[in-house]
Amino acid sequence: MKKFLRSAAVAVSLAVSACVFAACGDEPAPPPPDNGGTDGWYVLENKTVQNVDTTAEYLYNCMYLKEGAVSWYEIDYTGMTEQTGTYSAEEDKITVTIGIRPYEFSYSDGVMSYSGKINKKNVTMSYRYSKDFVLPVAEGGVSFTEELFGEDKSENFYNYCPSVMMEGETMHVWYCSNKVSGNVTDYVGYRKGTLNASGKWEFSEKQLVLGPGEGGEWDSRHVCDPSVTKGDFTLNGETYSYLMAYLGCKTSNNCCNEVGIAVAKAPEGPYVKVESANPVANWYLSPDFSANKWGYGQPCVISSDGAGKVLLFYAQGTAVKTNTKVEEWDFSDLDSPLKLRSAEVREKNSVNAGGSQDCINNADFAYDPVGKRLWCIKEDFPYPTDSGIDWIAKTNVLMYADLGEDGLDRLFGSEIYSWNKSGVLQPAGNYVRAHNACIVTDPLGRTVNAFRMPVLYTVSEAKTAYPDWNAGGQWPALHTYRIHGTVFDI
Amino acid sequence: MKMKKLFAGLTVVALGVTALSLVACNDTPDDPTPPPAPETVYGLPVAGTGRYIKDSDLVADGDTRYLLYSTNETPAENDNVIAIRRGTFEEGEGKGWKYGEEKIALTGESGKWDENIGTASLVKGAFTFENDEYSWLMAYCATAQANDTQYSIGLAVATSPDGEWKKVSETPLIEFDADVYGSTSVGCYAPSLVNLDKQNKIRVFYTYADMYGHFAKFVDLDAADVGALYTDESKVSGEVQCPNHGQIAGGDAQAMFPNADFAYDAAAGKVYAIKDYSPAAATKPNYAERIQLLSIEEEELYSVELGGGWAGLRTWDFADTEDGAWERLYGACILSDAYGHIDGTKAMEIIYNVCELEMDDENWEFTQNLKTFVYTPAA
Repeated sequence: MKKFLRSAAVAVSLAVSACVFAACGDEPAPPPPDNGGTDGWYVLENKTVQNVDTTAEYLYNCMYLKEGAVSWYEIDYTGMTEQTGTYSAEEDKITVTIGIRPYEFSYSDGVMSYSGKINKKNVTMSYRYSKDFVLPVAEGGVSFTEELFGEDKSENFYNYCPSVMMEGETMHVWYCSNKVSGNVTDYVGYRKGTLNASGKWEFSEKQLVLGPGEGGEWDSRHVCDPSVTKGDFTLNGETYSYLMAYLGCKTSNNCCNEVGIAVAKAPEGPYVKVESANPVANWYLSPDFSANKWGYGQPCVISSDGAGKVLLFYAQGTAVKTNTKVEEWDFSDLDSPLKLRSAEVREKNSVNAGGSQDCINNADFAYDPVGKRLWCIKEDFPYPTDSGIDWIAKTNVLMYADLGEDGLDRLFGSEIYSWNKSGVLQPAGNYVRAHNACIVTDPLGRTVNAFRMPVLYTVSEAKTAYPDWNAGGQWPALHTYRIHGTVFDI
Repeated sequence: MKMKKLFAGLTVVALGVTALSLVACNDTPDDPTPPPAPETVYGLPVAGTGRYIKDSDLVADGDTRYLLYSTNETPAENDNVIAIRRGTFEEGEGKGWKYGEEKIALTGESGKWDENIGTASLVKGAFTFENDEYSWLMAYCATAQANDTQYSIGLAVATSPDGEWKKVSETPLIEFDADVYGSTSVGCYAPSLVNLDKQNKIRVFYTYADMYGHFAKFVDLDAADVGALYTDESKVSGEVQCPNHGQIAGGDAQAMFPNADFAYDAAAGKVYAIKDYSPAAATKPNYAERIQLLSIEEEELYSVELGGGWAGLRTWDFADTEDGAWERLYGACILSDAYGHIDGTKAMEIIYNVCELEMDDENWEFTQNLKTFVYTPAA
């Protein structure tokens, strides 16, 4: 803009001069230059939301202004959004209008700056003109909300119960899967996702990183429901950075489940089971033991100190209740793991999608250390029975508990905390179930975004949609278990 | 737009300079064309592009009306503020009530209980606060949550409705306890004020919503000293739940009384209410599809004995709107005098909200505007 004004002023003065020197002849003023003062690419320099710096959440965030039209691109792990609109420029202001929403940017020295409310939050943004910027384009990949990966559905493989850790533009996903088509034996699978320039995810091939134990061992039938955290753990003189908690069992009737741990030096393993300590949640030695009750399982681990101390959450199904326990363990020396304290997760104001009081079961947790909030996504009871499926949840509730200055310590204290429902996860499209969900966290189990909660979950189609499925049993639905992502605004 | 004007201006200057040289500098540049006079609009104000007007409260103070409503401060942003316009009447063809400039009466405060402000109601009276006298009282609902839950109700005072409003306290007067009653409930909202004695005996009607539904309640205030309401428990009555039986139109198992505005006919000993129909629409926006006008004998509010309950006077739905165009009718109010009183034997002016459906307009929030019905009681 200033370039244009200076040019115009020069044109005027030239015209005046010409008039004076040419004794005021008919020479017209030279035409102004093209409007190139503001057009071009503007790249995000800084963005804050409620005073929280969110700049690093974007892979790319930029605007292209050209002759009154604007294209605004935001690319992050959830994909690419492109908004088109118009803009108008004045000397020190550029107004970008997307739909009916105007955004007034102040403009100075090639920088557009905004300060105002967006979606009820105080937002500041600054974009700098970048002459040589080129927005990269990448082919391929899947968007965060699509089916992320999986075998061809002509076969009988299931992918469910994900656990996710985000490290920069890499997403580590561990999940339950079977090894042989049509055989229901749970293994822990792993895939590494890489974010491409278009905001899509490209996943590695499936690796089975944990399998059932030898015959007769506590986890000899199934290993599943993985949850992984990063830290500093030693076992038999070796140092490991990744600790996985998982459900293991030696039964085939969904009873007597237990929780164990394994460690690895890399997300993809190899994983070493901590056999000296397993199972760390021992159902058979529990005072609640019953041979025909569910037991312990569906663990979630988050780091409590960034090193060897870990919070271990797990569900318990006994004769009298179904709820979730939390224990703090010192796993820094896995040759001598130490349970430091334990409690039951309070359920005050925990509700299902319909608003009825509900227990906390099959839950995943994440901690927001800034807001001192513990986030939880849990499945809803009662299970519905439509579509031929009565063994998994249809909806899940995302909720949070304000823990206050005590933070995670409050989980073990006497001061009551209560839950606040934030959102509901439900199936969409041709899926009839949304179940076994997890919150996308950083390596320590912390939330990755102050205002958005990314979640991975498992979908299922109706069993009744495949009346002639040869495999029978649960396979007409089981073979459709796949993992998708969604994002909640919080 | 501005750039073209600037260029045009420069051209004029350049030509003007040239002309000066040719004619020995006797001419002066033409004056710019003056902007057109503002157009006078009669009738209820219409929200501009990217804005909404909703949840109104309309009172008549002599020959002047005051229209209080919620609107957004930022275009296309859902950042509620309470606004007010003064209305005056002109006789004549095509004339009528015209509402003047919008003034922002009240805003939320970041980080406080009322960060997200909701709806409001006002009455005239005689109030003191911090040794100053005020003749107007406003009750407003607000919440610290950004998701329309856990509303509580606070008060503000002013010497004139379109003057400066002063919040009375840093805390709400009628507080919703989310820990006890649920964090996902709407809470205490839609305050509606009646000045019972036209001095300072104030009745604050409001809707109370928890997991069990939406119910009408009220508390009575001795508001001579508004500040004392927060320090002297004797100045605030206990809460009373209004009856929710009678000819209440609705489809719930138990009759609900959401989003109601109240008016008082002191001479007849009756209370009138206009409320949203319940349940709300299943498709977005999940607002009411009808509004209903009701009345009840005042003494029934004070008794646990079940009387006749509410008499249903009139229900309006899309068929009553112009060309049947509006499928959402909600957030209505009854035009009352400045004290919240009416004469129930006379025609009543009802102001209500309409909006587009989400399936027809993804920006439906910014299509919310006010319409009016007139109810004429049977002779």
